[in-house]
Amino acid sequence: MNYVVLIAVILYEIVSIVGVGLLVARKDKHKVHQEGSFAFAGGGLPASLVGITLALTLLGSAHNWGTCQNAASMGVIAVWFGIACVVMMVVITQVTGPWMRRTGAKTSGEFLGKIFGKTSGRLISCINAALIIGMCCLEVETIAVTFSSLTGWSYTVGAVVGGIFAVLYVLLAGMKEIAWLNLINAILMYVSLIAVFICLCFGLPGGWDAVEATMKASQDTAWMTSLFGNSALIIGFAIPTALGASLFHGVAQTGYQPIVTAKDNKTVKKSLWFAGPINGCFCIIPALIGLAAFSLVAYNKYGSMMMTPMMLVELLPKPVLGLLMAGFLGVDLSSFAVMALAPATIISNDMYTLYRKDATEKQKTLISRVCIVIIGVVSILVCNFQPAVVEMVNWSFSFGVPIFVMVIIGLWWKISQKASIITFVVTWIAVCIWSTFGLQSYLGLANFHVTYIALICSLVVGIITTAVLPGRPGLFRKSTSLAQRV
Amino acid sequence: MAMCGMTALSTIIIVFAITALGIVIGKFNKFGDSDSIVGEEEQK
Repeated sequence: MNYVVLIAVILYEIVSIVGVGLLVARKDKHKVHQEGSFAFAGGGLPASLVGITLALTLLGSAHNWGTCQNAASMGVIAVWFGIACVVMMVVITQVTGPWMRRTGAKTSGEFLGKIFGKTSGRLISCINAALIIGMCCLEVETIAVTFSSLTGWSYTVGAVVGGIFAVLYVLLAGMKEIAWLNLINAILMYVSLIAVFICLCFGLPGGWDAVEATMKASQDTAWMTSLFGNSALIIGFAIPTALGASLFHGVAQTGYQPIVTAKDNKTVKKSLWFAGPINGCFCIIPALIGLAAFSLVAYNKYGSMMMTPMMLVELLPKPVLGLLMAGFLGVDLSSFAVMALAPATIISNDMYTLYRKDATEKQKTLISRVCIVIIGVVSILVCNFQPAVVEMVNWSFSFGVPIFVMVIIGLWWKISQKASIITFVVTWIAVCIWSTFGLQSYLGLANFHVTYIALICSLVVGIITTAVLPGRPGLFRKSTSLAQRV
Repeated sequence: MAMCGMTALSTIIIVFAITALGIVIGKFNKFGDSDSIVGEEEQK
């Protein structure tokens, strides 16, 4: 057990949470309390904070330990996950985020309700909440990896301790505090990754040249050393990741939560300069260190998820290991925080208010906090049974594709609640039949990603049903027509 | 180290290219520049 490193990492997390919490509380003490501060940071954040919060909200387990795990099967091509996320940032900041803000919606549930009606909006919110809770489980999985590698505890014990830590992290901070913590963790994370890379230049047996030579020694692994080494993976992994991530987070609460905190739409658009590069470049070093772990036979016995952390625990000097673990843990905690806040906010703002129309902000905050604890418990229980992190994330994203397609149709063409529900249900069934129930394997189309199926289904069913079924003009179609008449 | 250098350089170039392209796409989205709420426009 690395006692010193473990204590240093936990101390860092506690000091940073408490310190930032006190600073924000002192700053807000003399200001009038703003409604929605816990979940929405009261609005008014500048482009840098919005961009960094967005980058780190959507940067978590799939980027750090998930990419290391992915590198064991696809080498440096794992970096494409980060590149695909830049496309997602473009969609959120330049297209859907500003549009959603123009409807006045505070949550994605509210936005979807304006297009599809309250019932359909809540149905989608329920599906999104369930998928996001699944992603919270992935975050707890990687938090467990950090604790397990530092302590030598079993993965299950690591998950319990890590899950409790994650819930406390969320409960102690609201959105504004998490925004500032993200900034601090962003700097720590990048500094630590660069330090890790430099240390491994000396720590790896034979250095990075030996890693490259080992991989290139066999035709079976030589392609793993190039970003463009396997076109099948570009088609079967990189492009579906870009599509799925963009279409899911483009209209989901996870992408919208940081956007709604911006001062105005111009700030949202400017935030891409921060969000894109910070998120997109992150996967470079995790992919390289994952490939290094894969190239060293001694660590293969730990399996694809644990081989990289075990290699780092053995090869890195303790201060650098501590920096890395603190940074990774900070990132996974902040992703868990915002992902846990997303369904909690949906439940407290969109669903609790059905029961209590006059619910106060204090009551909604209490409901949010209770939901966060429940999500933490579920995440701890489920995280032991997850498939590979990136694979699970991409599967989840495919459920968001029909929602995105019908949102675009509902904004700019025609709103038809029946067409939307038919499109959602048919596409979700198709996704399940293709991936979960094995049609993809049966047909031998391993490279035809489930996201492509979701997109084809959504477009075909969505367009046909919208054309045939009655509806009313799209939300923005009315507005632009009015503007032209004026 | 050549592998590391090429991977990093290629990624950074692609990321900034997509970001710049995204900003250009954003410029075409004039509807997204305004902050006025869509429903409120119709009431005026």
